[in-house]
Amino acid sequence: MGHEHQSDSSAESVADEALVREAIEGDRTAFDSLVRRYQTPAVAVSYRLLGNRADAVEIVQDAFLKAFKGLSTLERPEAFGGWLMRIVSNLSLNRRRGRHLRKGASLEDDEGNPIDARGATTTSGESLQSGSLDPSRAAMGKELGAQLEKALQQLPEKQRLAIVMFTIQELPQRQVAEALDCSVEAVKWHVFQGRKKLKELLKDHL
Amino acid sequence: MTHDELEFLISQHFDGTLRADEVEKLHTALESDASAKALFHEHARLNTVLKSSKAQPDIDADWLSAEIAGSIDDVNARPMRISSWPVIMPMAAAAMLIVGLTLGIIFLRDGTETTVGPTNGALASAQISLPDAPSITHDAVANVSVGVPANMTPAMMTTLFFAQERPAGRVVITPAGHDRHDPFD
Repeated sequence: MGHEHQSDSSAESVADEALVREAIEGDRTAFDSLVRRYQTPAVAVSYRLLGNRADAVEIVQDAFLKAFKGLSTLERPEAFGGWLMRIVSNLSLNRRRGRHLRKGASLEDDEGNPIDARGATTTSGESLQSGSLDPSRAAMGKELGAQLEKALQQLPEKQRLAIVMFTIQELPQRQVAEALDCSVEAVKWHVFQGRKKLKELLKDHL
Repeated sequence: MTHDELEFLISQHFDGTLRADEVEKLHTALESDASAKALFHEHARLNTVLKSSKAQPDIDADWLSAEIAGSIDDVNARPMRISSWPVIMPMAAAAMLIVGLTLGIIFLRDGTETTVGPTNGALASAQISLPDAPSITHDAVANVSVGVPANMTPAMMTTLFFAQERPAGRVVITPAGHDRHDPFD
């Protein structure tokens, strides 16, 4: 029944706390360890919100820079992961709003210049709907993918972020709660409300 | 169990967050209620769509962590960016202006606070320049000013702390036998 989410490993939380404290004391290798731990899920969340890999990488770089500068203001060092995801999601949503204001473009129309595995810019744009990054997504109909994107955009922000971070990207529930600045129970509720609305919005496509 | 309660259980089931007693509750509902089963299948289809949209961008982790470390090093190495100057320069100019004004106010206040002892009335003089006319037959206006006497020597000046020039005023000179008339009244 249902998948198992990544568990909220207490060992990892302790390690996060220790790494944050060491980083605050000036240990750069401690912060580098935090970067290695969170960069992949951070890029995935930003990519899911923006639909462009180059933008997602840029956002994550900015987010880690912000986190580094503001590390001493983090009240609960053990909550670093959720705090970082909050920065990532805020920056991503701001970028998305700015992009829409500038171009009036929808996500499926947006094709930036994504980077290759080493980080070099390529000339061919790549969006979430292209499916070329993830074979499983390629299996999903292009039409359905586009409809899902539209439906997600119609959700209230917290429901959308809860669905993206928890249900789709499968981040630990506590981390999502930290990112959304709410309780674990509230995350369940946001996901439930989001699922209900998505089911309604996608009823002709399911 | 209400429809909403059932749907909440189904939602949590797909997120893997159901407690054991809730799992039991959901199983019972699904076995006994066909509409509950239909609702479950709708959510199952939605869940498949959601899970298949998981983003896994192919990013080289080593490259990205090196990039992030590099950008942090840049910030550490450049505590004051050149781009900060347009902000800092006007602030520095404003600070200098404030310091200058403060010094000026202190200086001026010291000047006005200087007390001048009572001057000797004998040193005062009035200079009246009369209208250029051989005789006065009607009201005339004369310019009057008060200042340092023209015959005051430098030695006398050492005893004088401060001499205030009065701004030129005007007096009316009325010839003898005429009624006093002040055209400035």
